[in-house]
Amino acid sequence: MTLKSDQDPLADWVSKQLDDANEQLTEQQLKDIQQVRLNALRGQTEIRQRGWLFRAHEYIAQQLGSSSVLVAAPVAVAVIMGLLVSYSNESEIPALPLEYVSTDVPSEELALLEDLDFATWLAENNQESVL
Amino acid sequence: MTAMTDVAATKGQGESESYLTMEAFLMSVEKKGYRIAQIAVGEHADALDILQDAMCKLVSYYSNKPAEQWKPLFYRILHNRINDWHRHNKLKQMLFFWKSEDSQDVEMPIESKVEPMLSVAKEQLQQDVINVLTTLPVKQQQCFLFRAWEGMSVKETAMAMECSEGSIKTHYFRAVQKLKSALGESHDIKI
Repeated sequence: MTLKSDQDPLADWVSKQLDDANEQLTEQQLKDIQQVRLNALRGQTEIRQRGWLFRAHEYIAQQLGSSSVLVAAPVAVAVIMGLLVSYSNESEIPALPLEYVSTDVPSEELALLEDLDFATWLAENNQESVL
Repeated sequence: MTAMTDVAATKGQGESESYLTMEAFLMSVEKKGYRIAQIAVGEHADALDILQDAMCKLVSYYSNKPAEQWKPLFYRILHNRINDWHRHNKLKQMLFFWKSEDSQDVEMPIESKVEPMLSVAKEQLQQDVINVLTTLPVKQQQCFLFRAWEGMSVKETAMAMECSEGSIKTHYFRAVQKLKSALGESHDIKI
């Protein structure tokens, strides 16, 4: 005994609307449903994989549009960039060959530089004593 | 093709349908099963997963049962899978509570996103019915769909939903009351 025989009008009306809605399923939906049935009849292994692929695809698509990714993605990129960029260290700078210094710079100029250093130091000291 | 003729050959001979093959049975319930799952969970992909699981389990474990038992068994598995989905979803929402508002926006029923664009009044009406059904508690929703749409008896529905016949009557009554108030107000349906 089913309800159909003595069903109230609302249930009839709702059932009709649902039947009509099912008649208007899109081709893609119908294909998916058919595929699900065929998979169920064929075997289970393939179905499981498809199910997970389906879920993974949905999840990624969903995540790409979410606000958390919009915030986290630039931060992640910045961190990766920071890790990838190599900074030059002082120890890595090659020392200037000694001959270069001693041979190329004339001794008069060295004396001149020393004088300049002394004059600068004197001027600074004078200022400090005035203050 | 043969599956269709199997169904046709068995229909109309008595009150209860019996199916010659499992394929014929699955063909007869696939659209309703999909729609019931889709109303319960909202997403097309999730509804397909649930339908798939239900069909697989029926084929794997109950093919050898008498064909008369396939229908309540199928809807029982479907009902259990929908409940599992709701349990997992609840847990997911607890774990990722900060994303709950976002996900509510994202997980709208697929028709809500697509079908409002179709401005035909008839389709809008169908969509409204589906939307009202989605607002019902899961047990009331499924009880109503099994009884009213799928035409299952109180006993079959009780078996499918694993509860007493009294509970089925209560769920059904409450579902009808809610549908009457929601659809009666919005569409002025004479009930």
